[in-house]
Amino acid sequence: MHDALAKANFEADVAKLSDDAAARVGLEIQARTYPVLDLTVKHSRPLRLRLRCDFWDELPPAVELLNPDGTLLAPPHLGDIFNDGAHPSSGRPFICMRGTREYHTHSSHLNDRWDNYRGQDGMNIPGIAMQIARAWRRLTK
Amino acid sequence: MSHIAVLEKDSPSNDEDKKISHLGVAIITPDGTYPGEDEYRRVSGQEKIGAILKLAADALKITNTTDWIAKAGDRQLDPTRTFAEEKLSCVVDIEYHKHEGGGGA
Repeated sequence: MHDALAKANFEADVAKLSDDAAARVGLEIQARTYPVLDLTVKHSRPLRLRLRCDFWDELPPAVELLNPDGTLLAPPHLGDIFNDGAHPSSGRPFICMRGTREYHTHSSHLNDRWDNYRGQDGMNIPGIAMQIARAWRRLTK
Repeated sequence: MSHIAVLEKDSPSNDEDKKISHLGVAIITPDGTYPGEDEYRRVSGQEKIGAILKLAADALKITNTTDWIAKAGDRQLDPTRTFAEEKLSCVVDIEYHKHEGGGGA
């Protein structure tokens, strides 16, 4: 996929969630410069997410779990979409959710291809971030 | 940043109308905000939440909301209920997006 097209796709997607609208649903946007959407889920236990969206939307975002200061998070054992084991590619805990690169490249989900979700309503970059944010808040009450 | 509520009148004013509480509602989705940035739609407390979610989806050209969920704060809303039944009042931001799926690797 041509990088210029991925960049255009990225910019069109992230423009749909303004900083103000994000703040109203408890998301603080740190950066939205291709290929990274960097945001913090505001919560009693905040979570920072860095979505690397190179090759968007041919590939889903690769998602890093971070502390609010940007250091790598040692995630608590939450289960559900938060897998505290090491991903075969990154060696890091990861988000095991449709719409993340880590999910679709994990050996357990190779038969559930990103193409099954690509382009669906709600599966754009802000939509994937909002799903992760909801799960985090639900599981860390 | 302060929000400027642009409340659209949804029905002619009359005595009965004055007895019904109204609220300002914004729907924030991955595809934009309804009715617009810094705007709220004036709705009756007796209106079904799902009806406003449908208006938002149509306006934002979202065609499939089969497994979407609506939340106000940390509380998930039942779209089949009214705003009053869900104890929503004044000005409300509703987050509306697809349910997360996966897990179990």
